Amino acid sequence: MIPRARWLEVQSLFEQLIDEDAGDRTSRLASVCGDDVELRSSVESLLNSDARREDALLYAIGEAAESLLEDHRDRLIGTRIGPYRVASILGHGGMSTVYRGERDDSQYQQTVAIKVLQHATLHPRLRSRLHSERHILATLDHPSIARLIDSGDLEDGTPYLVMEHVDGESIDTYCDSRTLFVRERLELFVKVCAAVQYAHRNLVVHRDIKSSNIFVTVDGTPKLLDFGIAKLLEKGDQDTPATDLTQLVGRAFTPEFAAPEQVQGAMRRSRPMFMRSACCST
Amino acid sequence: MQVPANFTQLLTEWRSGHPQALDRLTPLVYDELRRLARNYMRAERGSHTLQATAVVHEAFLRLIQANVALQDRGHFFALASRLMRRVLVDHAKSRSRMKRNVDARDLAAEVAGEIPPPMDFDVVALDDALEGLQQLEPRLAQVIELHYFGGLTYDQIAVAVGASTATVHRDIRLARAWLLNEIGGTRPA
Repeated sequence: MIPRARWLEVQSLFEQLIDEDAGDRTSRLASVCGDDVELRSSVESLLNSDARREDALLYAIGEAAESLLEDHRDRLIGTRIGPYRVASILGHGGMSTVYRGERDDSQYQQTVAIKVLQHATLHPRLRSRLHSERHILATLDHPSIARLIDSGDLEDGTPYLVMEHVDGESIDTYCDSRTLFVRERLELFVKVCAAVQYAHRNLVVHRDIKSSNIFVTVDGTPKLLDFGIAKLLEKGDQDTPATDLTQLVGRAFTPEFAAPEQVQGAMRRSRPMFMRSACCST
Repeated sequence: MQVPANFTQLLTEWRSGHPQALDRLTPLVYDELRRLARNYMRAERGSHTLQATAVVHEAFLRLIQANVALQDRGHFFALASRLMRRVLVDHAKSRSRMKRNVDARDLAAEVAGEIPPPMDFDVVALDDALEGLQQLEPRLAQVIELHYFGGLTYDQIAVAVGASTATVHRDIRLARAWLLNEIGGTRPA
């Protein structure tokens, strides 16, 4: 980097010269800099850049802003999905976008999370399987599992799931922001385990349990979110070949939180996922 | 949209070394941008770039209005313009990752003269150069953030940083010239 003393010289000269006309600049520069060619060329190049008329900085920022707005000017915002008006985006997942939906038929007030699966990522052959999966998910009824309320297809055939909207914060943020004791953390953890066990008894595995998928509501109830990539275990036979959906989403987990068997691509059973969930609430 | 009351608190957390606060701030910025963008983008096409910049600046002002005591405003202007910079740069980076695959096609269209060649540099290059300026002269980097990412006028910046408008104007000219040299390499006008 330019030495401090030299930078101060450059800065001072630049400021003295910016408002002078070109002829005066040249003579002033020559007299002040003498044979210090480096100083002279530093100041000159700054003055030259200062003279550029278009504001390239504004242009660079404008372009970034335009691209950001284009990407986030979501076509679904403001439209209706079933009885819900799409209000805003809650988040983006690997295969889906989750919107906040408000019930819009003046029946009653209700906020939901609407998960819209990204059209392009879905192989047509897998749609029917997804349909059957969401029926199974709809049967999960547990206080610590975000409920599936409804599901369907948009006009263009893109499948969506309407889920219970959980107003809370992720379990690690919840624990840390309240500086919970170990005992309180473990009590939360036990509730999470109960929900996981319940799902497993119904032969549904979550397969992407991590702290950001476990929210805790203000009244202290943990809620497991995002059973979106859950796979229905083949009944009674752990060794049946992977289903199409499994193959598609087979690696759709988060490595930091996945069971080692998952990462290695070994056959998945309920057990490793359950054991591994121990790590999520620490 | 009502700006959440914890916006300023999150900003403070973010700058005092809690990077996860950015995860909660970014959606707030996006929400506000989207809300404003709906109005702007309905206007006729063309000059989108300027409109988009205006959207960013308006979102900035709306977000910063939330619950900031007058004597803290300079501080929060600085934080929020830093946040805007972060949001724009992160988006540009993720977008360039996504777009890598279509570059070849873009290049072909460009050669065919269908789309104009890219401008001198993008916001990521600007971001890098600003880091350098931050090392050299933090005051200059800050006025650039306030003016370009926050959209503050010279007068507003003068109040925020406690300097005269003339000083702010000089600082911005120097900072901009330095950044252009840094990004483009020194070249004759």
